[in-house]
Amino acid sequence: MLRLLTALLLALPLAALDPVWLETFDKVWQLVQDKHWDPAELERDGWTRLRAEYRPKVEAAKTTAEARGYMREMIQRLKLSHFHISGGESVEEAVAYGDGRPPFDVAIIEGRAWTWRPEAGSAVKAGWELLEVEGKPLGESLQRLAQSRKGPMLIARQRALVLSRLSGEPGANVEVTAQAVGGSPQKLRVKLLAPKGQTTRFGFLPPMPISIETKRIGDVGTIAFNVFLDPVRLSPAFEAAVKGCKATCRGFVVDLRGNPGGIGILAMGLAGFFVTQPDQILGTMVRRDSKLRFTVNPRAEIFTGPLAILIDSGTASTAEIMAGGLQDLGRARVFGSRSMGAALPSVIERLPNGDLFQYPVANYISRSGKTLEGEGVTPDQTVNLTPAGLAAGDPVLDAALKWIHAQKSLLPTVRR
Amino acid sequence: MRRRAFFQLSAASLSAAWLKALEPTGPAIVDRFVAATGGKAAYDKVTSEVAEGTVNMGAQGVSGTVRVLKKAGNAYTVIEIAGVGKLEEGVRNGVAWENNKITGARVRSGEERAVHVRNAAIDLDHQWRKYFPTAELAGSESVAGEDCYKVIMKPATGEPETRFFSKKSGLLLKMTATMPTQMGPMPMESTLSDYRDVQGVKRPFKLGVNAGGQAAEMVFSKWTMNSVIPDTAFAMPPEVLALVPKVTAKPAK
Repeated sequence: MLRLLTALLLALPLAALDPVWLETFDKVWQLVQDKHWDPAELERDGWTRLRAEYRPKVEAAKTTAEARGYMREMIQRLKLSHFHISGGESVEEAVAYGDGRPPFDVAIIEGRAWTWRPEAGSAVKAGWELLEVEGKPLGESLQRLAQSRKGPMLIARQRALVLSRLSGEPGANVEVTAQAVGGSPQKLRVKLLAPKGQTTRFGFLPPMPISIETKRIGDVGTIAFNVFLDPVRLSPAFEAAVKGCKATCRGFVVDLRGNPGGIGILAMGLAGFFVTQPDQILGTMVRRDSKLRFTVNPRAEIFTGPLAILIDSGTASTAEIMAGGLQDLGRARVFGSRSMGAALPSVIERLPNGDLFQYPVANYISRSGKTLEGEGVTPDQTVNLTPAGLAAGDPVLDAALKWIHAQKSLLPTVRR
Repeated sequence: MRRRAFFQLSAASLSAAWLKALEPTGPAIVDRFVAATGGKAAYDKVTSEVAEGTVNMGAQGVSGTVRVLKKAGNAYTVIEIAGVGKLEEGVRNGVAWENNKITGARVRSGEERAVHVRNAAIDLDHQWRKYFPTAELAGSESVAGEDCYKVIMKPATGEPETRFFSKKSGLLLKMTATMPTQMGPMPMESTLSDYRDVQGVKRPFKLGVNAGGQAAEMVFSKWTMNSVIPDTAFAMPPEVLALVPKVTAKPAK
């Protein structure tokens, strides 16, 4: 119903486009003009020319969707991450309605969607291919995305698309068609679960459930969290996990898969649970007027033993800064697949028309001198997912555990 | 003809020189600010300050509360923001520190420490010569439509601060400086407005800060002088104390 309503709203013509849309366009253009970290590069990318091209289009737009579409098109022409204008709905990438989640995770392998890490008791098992959701085939939509994007960003978008199709209110049923390898397609009804974790709010970001899971796998401590927000809960959770490993863990795993980032400097704070020396640099944020170093200092509780970080195509922004920085420092070994390469520090502001505009204000250069944007973090040990691997468990975590157990030293947590 | 041109040029040069000679000096401009905000005698009576208000990063939808305490070289500031928690910083017996859930506890050192210790001084405004050996007039600039003297104030060590004093009122309207931070030198701009009398001394109830590309506005609703602040208000949190084992908890004077 909501999707239908959205489609109707998008189609509504305007008698005359409110002048606020032109004001909004000017604001968008000016913010980028004023805040981009490299004015020369911005000019080379044709920002002035883009204004001349798109302003008349917005002025002549007949619908709000059309006007917003032109503005989105203009910022996309810069081919940078962290540009987003909220409001209306993106047609291609369905937006989640309701915060229910399926009782399994989704992995994308060669452009196809597979089930992974199902909840206990889920009718859908790991390593099944997802063919349809609510009778709508996934293949065509996934392929359409592949025409416009490549690399980790494509995989992340495809996964987001599938998860958004699988969204709804907690408790609602969604019909999926899935197929085990070598089996035949099965139609199953899956009940959506409540989101994991507590909801938090920060600035203009929508309310988000923050999930923090710490556990012990034998003599290895692990922590997984879905976003770099809510430091009031996240930092103590790290501290407790590290403290709980005191003198008893052979190693520690930080799972940043699917983590899109959040508060940038939280990478510094969380990395501090794993370093012994002060003033270590993860990388540098390059702004127009300054270069600011992401500096790490040891926390009161630190873990000094072998550290593995898990990443995938959904690992972005602050999560990439933390993973790449600790990798460059030689402090962590990174497992999984290449991260998204969307690592531009950004801010979100409200526009005159009420939309929210996220835009990057700095470039980020890793400690090793690499621009993370577009490149991402390359794992020390790449683990390619296969349907058989998904069915067997978690091959990325398994690789990390194997490496930890192969390390000779058993280093205790040190309290300074 | 040539002689006339020469005289005109000389007259113009002399006029510029006279005008310059008529301009106040840097120290005179800063002294005028002290006088305009209450005068030395009023400042001398101040032994402590407490300011409370709100902090708003309106452009990004982030807001919270702020509380600032100062007494005899000790300072404590706490900003509380929903979703972020407490951002604390302070100076206690010459130890400058910060503590928050994002980056943890830290003791400041070097130039960064020096700036925070200097800013904690209760007599920073009226005894400015103690902290800034030179104050040099560097021209005029408009701040929010008001013509200002631009004065560069150089501390004994560290980077200079540029201050903009209203030609009309003598009040300080803007400051720019490159602040030493954990992340490296960070350009910072502060704008000061809505000066109100607080027990004989004028204080800016509105403070805009732009640092690291983030703009914030603090609006103080309550500002008191000489209230009794217990020494415990400046106590370092346990996380910070753990980093400074040698610091003794000397009472603030």
